[in-house]
Amino acid sequence: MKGIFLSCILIVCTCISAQSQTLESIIAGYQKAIGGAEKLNSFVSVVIKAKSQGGGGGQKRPMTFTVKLPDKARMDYSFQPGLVYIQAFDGKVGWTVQPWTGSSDAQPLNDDDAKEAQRITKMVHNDLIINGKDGTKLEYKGKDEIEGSEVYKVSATRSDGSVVVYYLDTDSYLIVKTTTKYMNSGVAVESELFPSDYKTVNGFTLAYTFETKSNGEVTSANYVEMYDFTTKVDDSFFTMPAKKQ
Amino acid sequence: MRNIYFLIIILCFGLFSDIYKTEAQMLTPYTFGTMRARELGPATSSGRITAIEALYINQEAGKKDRRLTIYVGSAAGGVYKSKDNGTTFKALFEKEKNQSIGCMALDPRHQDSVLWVGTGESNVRNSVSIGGGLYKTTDAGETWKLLGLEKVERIAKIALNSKNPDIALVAGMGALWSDSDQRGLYRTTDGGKTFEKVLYVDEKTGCADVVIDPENPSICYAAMWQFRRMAWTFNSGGPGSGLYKSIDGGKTWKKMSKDIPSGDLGRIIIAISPSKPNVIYSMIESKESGLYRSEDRGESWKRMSNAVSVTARPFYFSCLYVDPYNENRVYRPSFQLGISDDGGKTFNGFNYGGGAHADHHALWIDPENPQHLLLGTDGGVYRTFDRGVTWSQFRNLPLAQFYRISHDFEEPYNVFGGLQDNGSWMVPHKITGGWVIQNRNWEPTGWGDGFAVVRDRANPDILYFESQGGSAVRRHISSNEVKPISPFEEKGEKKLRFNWNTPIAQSPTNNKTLYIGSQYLHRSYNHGDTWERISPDLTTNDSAKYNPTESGGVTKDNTSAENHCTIYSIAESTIDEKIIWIGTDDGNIQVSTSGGKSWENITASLASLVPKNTWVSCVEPSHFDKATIYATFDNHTRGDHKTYILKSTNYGRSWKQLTSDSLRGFAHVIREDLVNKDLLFVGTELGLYVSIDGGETWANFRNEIPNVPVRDMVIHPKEHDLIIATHGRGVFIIDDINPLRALKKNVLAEELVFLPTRPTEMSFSSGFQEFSGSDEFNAANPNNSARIAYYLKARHMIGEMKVEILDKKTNQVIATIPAAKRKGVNLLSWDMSTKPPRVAISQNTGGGNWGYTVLSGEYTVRVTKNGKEYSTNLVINEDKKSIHKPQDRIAQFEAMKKMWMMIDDLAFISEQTTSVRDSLRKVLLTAVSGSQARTKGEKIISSLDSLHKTIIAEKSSLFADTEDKLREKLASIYGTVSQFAGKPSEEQMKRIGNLDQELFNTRKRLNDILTKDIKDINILLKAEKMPEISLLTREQFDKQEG
Repeated sequence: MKGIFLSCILIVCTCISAQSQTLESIIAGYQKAIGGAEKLNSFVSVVIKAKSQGGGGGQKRPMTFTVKLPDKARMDYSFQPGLVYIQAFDGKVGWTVQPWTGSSDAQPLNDDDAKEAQRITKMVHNDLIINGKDGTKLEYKGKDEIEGSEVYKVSATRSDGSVVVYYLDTDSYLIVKTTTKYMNSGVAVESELFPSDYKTVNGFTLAYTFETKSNGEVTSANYVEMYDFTTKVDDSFFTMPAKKQ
Repeated sequence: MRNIYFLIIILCFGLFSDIYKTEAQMLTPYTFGTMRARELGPATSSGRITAIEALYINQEAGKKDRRLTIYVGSAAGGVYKSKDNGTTFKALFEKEKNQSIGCMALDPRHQDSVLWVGTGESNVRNSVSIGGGLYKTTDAGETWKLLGLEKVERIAKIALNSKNPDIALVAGMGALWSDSDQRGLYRTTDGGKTFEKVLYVDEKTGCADVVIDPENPSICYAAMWQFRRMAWTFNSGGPGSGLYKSIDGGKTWKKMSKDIPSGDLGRIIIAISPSKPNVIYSMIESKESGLYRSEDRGESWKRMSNAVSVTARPFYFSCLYVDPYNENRVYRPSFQLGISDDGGKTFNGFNYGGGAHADHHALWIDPENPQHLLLGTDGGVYRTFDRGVTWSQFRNLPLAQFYRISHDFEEPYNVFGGLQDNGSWMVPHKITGGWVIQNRNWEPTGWGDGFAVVRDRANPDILYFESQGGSAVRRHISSNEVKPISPFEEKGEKKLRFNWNTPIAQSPTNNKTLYIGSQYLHRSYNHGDTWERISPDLTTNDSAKYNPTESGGVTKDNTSAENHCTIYSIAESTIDEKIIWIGTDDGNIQVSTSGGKSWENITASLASLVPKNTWVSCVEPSHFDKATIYATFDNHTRGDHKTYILKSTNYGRSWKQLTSDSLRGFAHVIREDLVNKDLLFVGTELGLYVSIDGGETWANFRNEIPNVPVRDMVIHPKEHDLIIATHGRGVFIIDDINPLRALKKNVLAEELVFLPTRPTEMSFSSGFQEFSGSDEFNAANPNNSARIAYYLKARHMIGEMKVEILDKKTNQVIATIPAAKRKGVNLLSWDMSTKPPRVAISQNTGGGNWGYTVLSGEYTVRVTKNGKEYSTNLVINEDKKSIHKPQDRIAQFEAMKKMWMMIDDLAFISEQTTSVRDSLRKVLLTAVSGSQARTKGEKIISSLDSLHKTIIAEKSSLFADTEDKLREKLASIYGTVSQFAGKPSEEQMKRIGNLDQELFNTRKRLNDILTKDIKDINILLKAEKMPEISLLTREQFDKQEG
């Protein structure tokens, strides 16, 4: 009888514990779920090779995200062979190449767009990995639901004023959705991203699909082919190239 | 100890129960997944506005970017906000439980972020919705907190203390249809955390208005109102009504009597002059109704005017305003906007300046420019910059209040419906040749308060519409003539009793038969020219409940809104035309199985399930069994908000209650699906509900549909759309309910199950350009891509999931689309095109970088989820209106396919050319100057360069015409032929042939170089011990993607 009694207490305690999460326990749960923050933080760069596709189908277009911590990022998006859109931040300056304008010269980004380029640095090493060490304020906002899935809601208020909300699946602690709010040209902008297709490769469990949605339906999807943490990336890769003669 | 033990056991059991509930696959709102309702509007004819607040704010501190932020509260469509002077609006309140807004107040300290919203409209007409408490946002509407007062039902006013906005007075008007001890004036001193009732008269008397002196917040005024509505009458006034004053910030109150009219008072409205707060105006409903003015903070009063524009319908027109700078300028919104410039002595006459809708309920006066007004009416928000001489309408607020809805059988079909105070309207459910459904696509079809609209199936040139109280009209569309067709009483009889919202129905089995209900059921076989009375009085015919001329209380008001003991719903069986069902507003259900020759009153069989005399809001005969009938009952007119849904399978002799805890709101309508008898839809005052198990369980369908009153619904039998009439947010359509039809209980337990969709019909309709700005509401067209649906038991998180489309004949993958992964129903779109060809690399866009449309036919959809494959058929049909013969469609398809291959082939040629050239250039860097290899190599490079210049335009260009090279020429004809789904013209085919020849020649030129020159140079390179040049093979090229 005493055994049953103790078991009951144990079960109750476990259940109550599961119901009363804290910010610390959720972040610990997330870091454990993806394979450990310590090892991830030991890598200073990451190259993500992916393909992007529109919601109704169509061609998958290659794109590459390159990040060198703490503050360098670049995205190359090939919307057609020979025409590559680039958005980059070298730690101080943001720049872009927009070949559809008829020019392949790099142009500087304004401050708001440069911040957007800089946000790429947190694609993998996100606020839940950095865990406030960069001054970002994290808050647990309670449970919520996303498309029928119960989630923990954690908001991250960054020093640039943007606010990212992470929605983590209460079973797996993996991220179901993120929303990012920021100002651009004086207008509040909100973007949503739905990570999925998590796979464990080389000890890390990471999302291999990132979707955007409109009215609940997928409008675009980025399929990750590879997370490369070992390739060394030179700083010059992020520097705005000189104008072509 | 034993108690603790049991407590733990109970606790464990409770937790396990929760876990069990989580695991069990129940129908929930999430089951509907990505199935969403499409909001059609209209916004050209909007709905009743109950509150407006606005403020100028800087978007960015320090910048001269001052925009007007506007909050609009509506009768039953929630709160909308504009941050851009009214150019665009966004719904803010959609997730809250009630959408009826009574009042709003901006915190004077934090106008940019803090807004209080009281729910439950206080303009208490017969059709008014209900509220659910007091809300507050502290982030400008992003999130809301329910502060309390949930049971008050209607909050008429919130007054904030200008010196300390944490102190607020809240006018709790209370229930309209019953006694309530929740009425009264509430006070909070902690920003809404706690409330104290500071003024209460009795359970019949609510607080209808409250104001706080802006200069001295210790002084407050409140209006108490005794009122009650019943289904057959309305009473405004009684001994409970009175005007009160407080001099201690609202803690205690004293009834004012000096100069106040004697006898029973009705509704009282108060306004205080912001510039001289000693001046107060009050519209007092009484035997001497009029506008009263006090110049000494309410100590004495003088009647200034009894103009109709001032005293009209106080129960409905319940606001009064004073100019912010001129204490003598008074605004009284009622039928029109009454304006006085002489302290209320005289008002402007009836002048609907500039075409603003009549019947006004809210006004905002720009404090920076008092000529600039925002006016809330029965038909939306209007703006004037010249104090009412001219008005412009905000055509972006889809707040229409529908009563009934119908459709026709045109393609695309039209939706018809009648609106509260905004006539009747029709709109096509989709637009061909345009991107979106716009305000201009809505067409008026009738006037007055609009209700049923029926397009005659036998003669589509005829449609029937009605205005209030059974004023039925036949309209001939082609000539636009109208003929009133309502039946009359017989000689010596009293006037027929028609409901405010009279039912008109066309027989589903006989196109010639039209029904209309008074207390009798009338039938016409000649479009309403003559009517045959086919029933006795089917109501309770209780004379105590029929005296509308005496309705109103202190101010008599008879608009047919209180007509009672009438037929409210009519439904003929779709299986047997002799079976006719009617429901009455006084609780009767009667059935005839003889086409109206005899009637059976089956009301007694309801006695144990529904309170006697409960309004029968809908009767719905089953489409599968003629003895089966569904009915909804609405007892809110006696203060009972329960959801009553009943079903009988024996002609109403016995009934079963279909209900569950998930249902909220009194029921207006039930519809049984036309295909799956277990699929039911119910509309209540608080939303749309769906059952997949014949009514055993229900779930709120809220994908885009807020908790608004759902008054009527109809299922289109050909398009399989559920068309929904809301009384506050216009029309919604759930396009293609086929996936819901397949959702059975056993399906909910499956990992992944494909669900049927209606066959896709190809559309080749061309779009046109238009740049109409962003200041009007636009509704989306239905998705015209091929639709794929599957159900997922749980969200897909781990592992790979992909969706491929395969050609059924070849089993080759022709397209891939992103998988949808959420729990519940997932809808995907395929644009019915192949993957694009690869295009020759260029610095220019274009090049034919898109796929071509496939032919109609059968395809296979294959979903792979963590290695497990699921497949289903996908049927694509030709456009029924297609002008093309099948062989012409094939001709276009084959031409597109050929060009696709040409473009793809050119990409290979280009790639092969540049790869060889670039390899050779690299090798020659180390070649000895003047050597044979170098000389030969440079010649080959020159040849390849020359060839490549014929393939692509080399100059980078955005807007200017680019060089017309083979890549660009191919892309141009590829695009041209793709625009028309039929046979390409001879000119086009000739062009394709010429380009094919050009491609052939290009290939030949390259092959000549590759087979001879490269062979030769490789010999020389080998002799000079240099690396040989290898060729890019087609196989290698095909392995490259993108």
